[in-house]
Amino acid sequence: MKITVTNETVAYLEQLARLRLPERERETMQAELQGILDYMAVLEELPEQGGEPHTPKHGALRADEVKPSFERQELMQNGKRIKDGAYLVPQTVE
Amino acid sequence: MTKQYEAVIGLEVHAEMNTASKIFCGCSTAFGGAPNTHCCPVCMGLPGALPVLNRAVVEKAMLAGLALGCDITRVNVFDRKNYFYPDLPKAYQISQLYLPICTGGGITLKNGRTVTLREIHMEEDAGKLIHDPWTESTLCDYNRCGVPLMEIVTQPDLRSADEVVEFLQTLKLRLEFAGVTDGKMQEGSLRADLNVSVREAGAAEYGTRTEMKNMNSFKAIHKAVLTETQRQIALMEKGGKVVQETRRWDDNKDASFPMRSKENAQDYRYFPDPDLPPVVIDDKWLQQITAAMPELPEQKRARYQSEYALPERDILILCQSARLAKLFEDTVECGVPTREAANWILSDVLRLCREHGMEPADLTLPAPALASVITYLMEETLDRAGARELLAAVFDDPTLDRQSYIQSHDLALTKGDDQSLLAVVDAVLAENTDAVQRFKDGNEKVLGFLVGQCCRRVQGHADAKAIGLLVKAALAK
Amino acid sequence: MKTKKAAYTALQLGAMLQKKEITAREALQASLARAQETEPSLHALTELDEAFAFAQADKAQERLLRGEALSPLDGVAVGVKDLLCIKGRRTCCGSKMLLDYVSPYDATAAARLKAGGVVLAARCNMDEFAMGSTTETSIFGATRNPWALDRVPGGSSGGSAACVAAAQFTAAIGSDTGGSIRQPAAYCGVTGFKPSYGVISRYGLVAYASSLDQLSPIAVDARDCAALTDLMRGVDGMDATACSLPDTTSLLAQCDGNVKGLRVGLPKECFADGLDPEIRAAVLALGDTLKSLGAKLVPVELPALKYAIPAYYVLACAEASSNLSRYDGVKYGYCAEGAEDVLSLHSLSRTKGFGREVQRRILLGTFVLSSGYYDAFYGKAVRAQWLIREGFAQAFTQADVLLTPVAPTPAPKLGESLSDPMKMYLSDIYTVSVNLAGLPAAALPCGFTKDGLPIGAQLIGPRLGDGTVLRAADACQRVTDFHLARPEVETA
Repeated sequence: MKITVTNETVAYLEQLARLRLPERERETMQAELQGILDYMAVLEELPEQGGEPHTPKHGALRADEVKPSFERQELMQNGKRIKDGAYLVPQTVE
Repeated sequence: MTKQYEAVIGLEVHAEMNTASKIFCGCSTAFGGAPNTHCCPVCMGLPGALPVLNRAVVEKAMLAGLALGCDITRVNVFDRKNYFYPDLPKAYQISQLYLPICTGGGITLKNGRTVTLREIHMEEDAGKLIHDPWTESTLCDYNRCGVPLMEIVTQPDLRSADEVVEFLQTLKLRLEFAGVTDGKMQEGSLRADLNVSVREAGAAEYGTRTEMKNMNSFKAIHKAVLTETQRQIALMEKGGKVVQETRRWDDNKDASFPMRSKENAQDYRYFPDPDLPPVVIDDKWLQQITAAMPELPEQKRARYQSEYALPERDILILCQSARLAKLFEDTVECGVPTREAANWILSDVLRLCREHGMEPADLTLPAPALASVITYLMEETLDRAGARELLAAVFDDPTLDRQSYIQSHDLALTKGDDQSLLAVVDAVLAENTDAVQRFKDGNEKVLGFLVGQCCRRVQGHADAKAIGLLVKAALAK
Repeated sequence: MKTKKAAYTALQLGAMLQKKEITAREALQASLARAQETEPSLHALTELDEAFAFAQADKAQERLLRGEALSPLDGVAVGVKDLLCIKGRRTCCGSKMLLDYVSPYDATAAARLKAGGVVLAARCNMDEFAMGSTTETSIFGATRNPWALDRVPGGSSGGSAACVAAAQFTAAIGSDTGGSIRQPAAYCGVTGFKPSYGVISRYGLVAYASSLDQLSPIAVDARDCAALTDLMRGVDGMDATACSLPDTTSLLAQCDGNVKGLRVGLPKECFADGLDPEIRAAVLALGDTLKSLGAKLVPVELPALKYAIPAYYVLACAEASSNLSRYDGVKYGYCAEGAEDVLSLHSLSRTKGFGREVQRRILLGTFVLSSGYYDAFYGKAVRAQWLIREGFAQAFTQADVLLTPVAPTPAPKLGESLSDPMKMYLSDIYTVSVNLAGLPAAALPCGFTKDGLPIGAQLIGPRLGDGTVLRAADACQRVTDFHLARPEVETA
């Protein structure tokens, strides 16, 4: 599968990733992404067989115990806009 | 002639699990609290913080699945659902897409139709956004972030508003009795989104569906189904087409409105969360949880019928809330006769709930307190009015010292063998020698007069029956 | 190029402190003096708070005087890569996004180092969010290679490698996602050890690619790396992916010099075209050293190696695109002014807060996860990852450790890689497969090019065979002295 990275592709990705590249940079990025994805085409050559996940190991779980929460002021010390102990953002729709 | 239409409805129910701590960190799940005070680096998504799964969340999801007849997935994986929104501090929600913990299962309705479940998966709740009118901004409170949720997704098997409500009521009760949710609708611990479409009766294809959000009561859900069904039928009658969209229910207007579409088509870029290794449920664990399954509503009703011989109506009410049934059983356990326990709960306790605007799920009244109130009445330490007063007091304050409350509020009835009461009787008889004589002459009607005199003296602090006995005994001397 | 010999290793310094031949304050003063002298030309450090460092050293000294050392490294000062959270300290990840970010909590590894009395003296420079192989993309500016100031120190833990190479500190902590410890260690002529995935808790390590990230030490020799890993490793209630090693003996104690009968595999694919001949010769010479110590050299194959780089960049960028979404200008980090709505607040903050390489990887990761491309890229990369794991498992039926180069070339010149991302990505060929398979691997100096640039060899062990890797590396270092060579850093 040959994938063509278009200007629209980059614009769509920017929207998903919440980035806004200047138009000039978008072109460079488009070319770079195209180059990288072309290189990644080597994955097309993967053999049909093999590469099945092994039996997974059980992950660690924690007990349902309440631990003290963080002191709010300390936890939120890096926030730029705070009001009444809550982060302030521009009004969201609805 | 107008066409016959059929509604096709599927549900996505979000049920909050009643764990003590959050799904991925040790912060409390308690409702309320000042903004961002039930938070830590994990649930607030600080750089470097990692989730560690709460074992109870897995076990409660297993219980829910078992209570609904689902298959339990043995290798569970959590996936990240990526999207930006201010209520989501990591900009991804940890959920399950590819391997949900339960599949299949369902609920059979009274009309015999079965509503099949597509899946139940575990996920974390998001935070709360509050509009701040002073700054025309939005305040973000992350206390709810990481509260564990089960999302229960049905197949589009429901056909009417009544079916939807019956399904939800049965579901709510099963989950509550399985001990996995506490069923407090007001605090949003059970939220249902609707997928509604309409088709001509008998058609094989489904119509275009809309999604409806923001109903916060069964009543609203019922109304929303009716309204949306009618809206779609009206649209089709006019030759219009139903647009696939998400609509928001407005309870004040009894109507729904399309939500403004979020920036673009959703592309959540799900992928397995690398921070959480798979959860493997082996036979032993599954057996443990199966064995720990509490009695479900249907089983409980049957047992009440055979064990307690209560009227069916009473059983239905007692079994409409796990908390209520538990209070009943624990009160009986304290030695109160079943009939008395049931009557008190069904009359006085439920009345107090209503007066306090509480659901039975909110009850904090301890069974020993209720049992002692009933016992005081049965032992005639209190009369019914006194017992009710004491119950109201312990209802408000479950830690109340009942003995001292009875004393300080002068509720205790004077006992039949009480010396002071005997003295009163003696005094009344001494002061009313005429009446005593008439009684001895065979006029038994004066007995009532004498008892009445005694009661007036003790100002109702003893019951008339006891005084009557005392007066009779004194007259017989 | 003029060279001299390292004054002492971290463990030797720790022993001197315990024998009271030197005080922790004196040792720290020497470090700070060396830093002051070399920093203007190197720029390995992003923060050096002397008061913070001295306070820790003085506490350590009190313990040492009482003879109550917390560990063999009590009182030893180290540099810490700028992505490990230390409570109350800035953790910037070399990014404008986190330029003023102060962590409200300690990373588990930081807490364990503190509990061992290690002095967390300075923050080391890095590629922005650990995305790079050159330490040129940091908001604080590029770090230079102490052996040749016109060359890069490697990356992303370039500051950590450079500060040890320049003898500012005897050891430093870094992280390795695709070679970020081993490659700079090789370029700078120091020893780096990436433990098996999960051996050191990631709690408090600012994530780049969660399934590959691994905290790792850089030090003078393998024994230092073993001692530092011993301090940091073990299961952690805050990281579900953290694990313990099956061998309960300390890693340091496993460095016993005995490699008799050890089967050292030489993967054919790692000595093929594209490898600098000087590097090939030096690495093979290290193989001969091992052989002279009683090890056996065996040829092995890693046929899936060709999928390693594409699989790595698909998986790492996919995870990064999600991991870095939390930087949205609301809770912490760079916050764009004048945003009228939430979408603008997020987009402007991220666009202005992230550098170009980070944005490139976020977009790439977003692409490979996006609707319609998931199976073609992410799905295939996962399968390639399993093939690579199986390939290693197969090789480890024939060998106990594998010997490979760390990088195909010595340290490139500054600026060379920035213009050609593909070229930079390809230089990770020998290191990324190790992360994809979650294996332990050490990078150790094994010679110099004729231009005097350090050459590194890589020893790879089977999963959780961390002790074997360190034992083999230590055995080599007992009979060679490449790791002790130190450059005369040109000072301005």
